[in-house]
Amino acid sequence: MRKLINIEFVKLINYTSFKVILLLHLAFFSLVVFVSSQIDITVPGFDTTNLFRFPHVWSYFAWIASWFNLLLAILVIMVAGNEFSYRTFRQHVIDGLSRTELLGGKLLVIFMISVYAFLLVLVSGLIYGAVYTSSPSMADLISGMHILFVYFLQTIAFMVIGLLLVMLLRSNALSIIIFILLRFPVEPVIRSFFPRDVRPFFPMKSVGSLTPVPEFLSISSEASFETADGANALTFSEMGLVAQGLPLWGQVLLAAGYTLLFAGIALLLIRRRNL
Amino acid sequence: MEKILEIRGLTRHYGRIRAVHNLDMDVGRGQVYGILGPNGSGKTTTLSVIMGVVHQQQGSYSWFGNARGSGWKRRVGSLIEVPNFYPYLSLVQNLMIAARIKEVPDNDIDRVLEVAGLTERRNYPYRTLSLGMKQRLAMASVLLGDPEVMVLDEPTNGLDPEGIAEVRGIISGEAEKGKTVILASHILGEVEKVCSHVAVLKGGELIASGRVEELLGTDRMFRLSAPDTGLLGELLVRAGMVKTLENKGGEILVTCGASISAADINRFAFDNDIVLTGLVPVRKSLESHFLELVR
Repeated sequence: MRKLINIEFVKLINYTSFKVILLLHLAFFSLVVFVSSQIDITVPGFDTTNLFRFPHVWSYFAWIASWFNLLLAILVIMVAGNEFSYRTFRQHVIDGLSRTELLGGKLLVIFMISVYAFLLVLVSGLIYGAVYTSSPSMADLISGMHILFVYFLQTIAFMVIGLLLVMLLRSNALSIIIFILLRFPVEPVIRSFFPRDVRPFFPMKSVGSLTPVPEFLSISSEASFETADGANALTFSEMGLVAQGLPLWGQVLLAAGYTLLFAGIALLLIRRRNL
Repeated sequence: MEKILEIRGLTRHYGRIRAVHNLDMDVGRGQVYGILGPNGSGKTTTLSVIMGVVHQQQGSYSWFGNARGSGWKRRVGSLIEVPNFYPYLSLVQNLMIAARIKEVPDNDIDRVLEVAGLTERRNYPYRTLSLGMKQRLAMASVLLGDPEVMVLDEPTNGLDPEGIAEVRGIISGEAEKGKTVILASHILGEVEKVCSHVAVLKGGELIASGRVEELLGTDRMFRLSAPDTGLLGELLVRAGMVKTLENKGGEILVTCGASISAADINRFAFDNDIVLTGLVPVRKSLESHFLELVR
């Protein structure tokens, strides 16, 4: 394990494209968060700064961070695809790594990138939350924080999908294009042929909806509006804007299941094939 | 003798192409084992299978009398086909990765860079190297950790004459230290110069194997020219010094037994009042050897 971390570390720390994309990710996220905090929407009865207060800041930031998951997936595709184009996977096996260790190294890279993404959202959330919440209480801070772990799982799941693609296709460009096309329009089109109840179970959909759009209206409204049966009238699902999906724990299980399945297929591929 | 590598019935086909077919091979400790064959005869495929990057379809191989797992690879240094390194990493960084995989301490890197004559370039990115330097870096990587066995596939590919001599020097040096070397090459001279044993492959099949001098024959060929080549040839044949004689324009091509050197021929001619105007030792081409072996 230490050996694998060591090896991957040498490869990544000196790889300019890797560092540039990671910096872009950091810059994009920070910029969007900052700009959205400066937008002042003055509609009576609504206060958008609520989004930056505990506990809403967690789900709001996780959602914004999820916009940039594509960058993270591209990162992994590049790092793993290079091993094929430089034929270094082949050399590693000749030098003495097992095929399981080849995949293990890449899963470690995914894990490390996810930890970075997790920390990025955690630290920004803490900063903005502390600034915007007038009297932050521990309970407010902690409630809703679980979405960070869901976001962590989401980044891992997306990157594992990218890893599987590149293991399958052995080409950076092709894998990146197919990854983008799968998210839109390939999987959405395929989904549309299936009944409504089945659609949330598709991989891209199930992973993508782990960090749903925050309920902007109900979060920022100062008064509450309720329907006849007592539900919040300002939620998107109540308004029919988003489809009712699975409960959160179901989605987490589903995404984790897909992650394990895809990592398993990737392992099978690398063990079976010639390098 | 202790067996380092044993191959039995190894078969690997790519579609209809029989890259390696039913190959048997035994390499003993301390041998410098040449695998000789033209391009596409299955040399690289054989080495790829025994190093674990290509799966065989039939047959088996075992290292060090059946070592399980991948621990045996730490005792084997290998260069197969082309050098594979990260173009954006420096030579030292590339070797760091190899050293960590082989679990060799980083301080061995300076030593192998020195052996390969790349110390000055140590901090340059790999992509800035010339083809010959890349090949030498691959040799350096093979030497990391001072392995007992070296598996080399066309190690002099792309090298200039000086580089070829250097790499052959490294191989001979390792062999003298008692290391086992498995060397694939299509260059007969290379195998003749450095190997003790040889296996000849053709179309993925083993057509001959054994000690080099037994197999490749020790007959020597010379191209001779003299003012009167006709007379020279006649005298040589009558003296029983040559086995075959062939007229080629103003020159004659003769084949002699192993005991006869260029000096012997020169002296013989001089003793018979013939002054040679040309005396060139000729290597048999690989093709003619194959033809002999197949026959």
